[in-house]
Amino acid sequence: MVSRGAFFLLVCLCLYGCHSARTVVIDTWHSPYIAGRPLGKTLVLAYTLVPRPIVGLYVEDLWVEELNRYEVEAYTWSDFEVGVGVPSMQEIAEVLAAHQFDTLLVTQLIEFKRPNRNIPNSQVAIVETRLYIAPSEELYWSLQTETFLVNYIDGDIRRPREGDAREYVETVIQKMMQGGVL
Amino acid sequence: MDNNTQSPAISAAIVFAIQALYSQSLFAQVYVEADQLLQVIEDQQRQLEEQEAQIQRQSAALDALRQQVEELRRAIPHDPSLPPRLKNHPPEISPSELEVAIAEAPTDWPGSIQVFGSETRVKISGFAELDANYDTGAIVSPAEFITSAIVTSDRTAAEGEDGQTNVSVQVSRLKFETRTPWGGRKISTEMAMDFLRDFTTAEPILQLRKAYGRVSDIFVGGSLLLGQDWSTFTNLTAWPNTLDYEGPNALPSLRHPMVRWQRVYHPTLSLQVALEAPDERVFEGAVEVSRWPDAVFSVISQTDRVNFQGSFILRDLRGSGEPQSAVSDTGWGVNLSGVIDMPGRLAPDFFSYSFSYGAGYGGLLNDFPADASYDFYENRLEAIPTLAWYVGYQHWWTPCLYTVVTYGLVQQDNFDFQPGFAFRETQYSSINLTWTPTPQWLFGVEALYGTREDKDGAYGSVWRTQFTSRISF
Repeated sequence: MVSRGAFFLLVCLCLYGCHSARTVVIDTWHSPYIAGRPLGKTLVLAYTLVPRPIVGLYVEDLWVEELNRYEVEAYTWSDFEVGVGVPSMQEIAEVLAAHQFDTLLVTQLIEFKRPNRNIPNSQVAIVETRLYIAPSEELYWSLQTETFLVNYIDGDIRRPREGDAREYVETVIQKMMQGGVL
Repeated sequence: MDNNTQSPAISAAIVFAIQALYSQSLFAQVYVEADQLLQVIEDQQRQLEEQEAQIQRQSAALDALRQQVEELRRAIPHDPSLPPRLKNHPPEISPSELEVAIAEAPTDWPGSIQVFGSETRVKISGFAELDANYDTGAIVSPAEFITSAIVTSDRTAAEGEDGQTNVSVQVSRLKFETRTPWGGRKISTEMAMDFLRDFTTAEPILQLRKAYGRVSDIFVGGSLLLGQDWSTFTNLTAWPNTLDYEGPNALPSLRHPMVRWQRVYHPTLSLQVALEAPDERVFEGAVEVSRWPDAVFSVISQTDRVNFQGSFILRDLRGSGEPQSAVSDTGWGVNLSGVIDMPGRLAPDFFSYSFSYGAGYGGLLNDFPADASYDFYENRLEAIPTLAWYVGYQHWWTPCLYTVVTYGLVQQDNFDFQPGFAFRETQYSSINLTWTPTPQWLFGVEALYGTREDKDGAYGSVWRTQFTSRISF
């Protein structure tokens, strides 16, 4: 029994010592009709429709903080919040026009991965980030990732860890730079 | 002589005069050419100015057109419920029609369908799972790695002593759920089934897993569940993510009929009290004759990073060892279990654990050792003291790849009057590598090792290698 316990501890230590990538890019799309362009003045909206419509205030704040580091003038949707919950495109369009934004950046949690048979808890989400030209609301770039951005427990999304959220944003920013959209 | 002396001066004068005349004509020609050039430049400048003016006129016209387009676009009515994802999304990555329908549905329950003419919503889900495994020793539970099913003596080839492969779809599952608003309350139901009625065979036989209804905020501020569900003693959150359907031997995992009241006192704290059916008793030498339901009490704490459940169960163990009388004993058990999310760079790995102790609760565990044993000479039923614990660790290599390692132990303190083949101890170890290429599809390989020891010292061990594919819907 002691040897089995030692084996378990040894395996745990090995796993403990292994650090993994927390965000994996699944797919990138760039409009063939719209060339790369600088973000300019950017409005950031983070939201999910699962398990229910929620705006991700924390992720929005992180996005703005990171974009500011890259000298992009960015604001969160929450700075202009019109109502509670996920805004309609009409509400967003009004804010974009009123404040003369150049770009709309949307981060949406699409789906959870639920590997456990008996509980819906999840640590992995499919998250999509999209860029729209603000005046026309035309999509010109998107990126899908599998990420540890969420912690889904007992039917609720818990606040993501700061490290995971920052790594997610940084990964997307790097891809944006590679794609010529930052 | 004079002529000779005057001739060079005259020649020089003539040459000078000729040169002067010639240079004057050259200068005149240059001036003419320069004038012509200036005229060309002025013409070109005028043309450029005209072109610039034309560009400005065209640019103004373009701006006017853009403005018209924008005004027309704004005039189109917008569906306020439509999220931005569904706007202007090109076909290459546009969501499926089902996704659109789900996203548009005015509900907080994605994937559900409104029943026509009713406020009830229905959701159907489940998975199709294929498990293929190879055992190196004798074990009589082909679809699940139940360590108490390891054969300890008189092992035969039919039990797998010489190795055995089993392929099964028994754990595949189908689940129906409904939700109906009722006043300010919510009525929800769930019915789930799988094909694992008999774990001693790989044949799929339909089995009812769950059948319950629950009404929220109905009694003393809490919800009431009536029907068959996991025992309140079970902490599902602490269930390690093994590919083996059974999971660690020490996991309390019984499903049976019950009445359960649950109240959330705080977002991080809830209380459950239940009366559960006195069934699934495991007695040695006696037949189950139930009288009182099991009483279960549990406290659950769930924070962002830590899950904890403390449960207590009280059981009336009653059976008949001889036809003329019924005997009973009191069973009890305590379970402390939970999940701890790893901090720092280890996130989102997590550690799960469970520790149980008591007497007469063994039948609730995955290994279901006997709850009690009948003493024929004294005509009494004795609850068997049982210790059960496990630990598990899930490590994420990437968001698509993880490993779960577990170890579990179940021990019973045997009585003198118990037979020699009585359960004494089992151990369960597992390690897997699981790949989830999509949220719906899971592949994995798992190595399991289990042992069983009986009261008389008989011992058996089995290695199992399992491959699993699970496609969910």
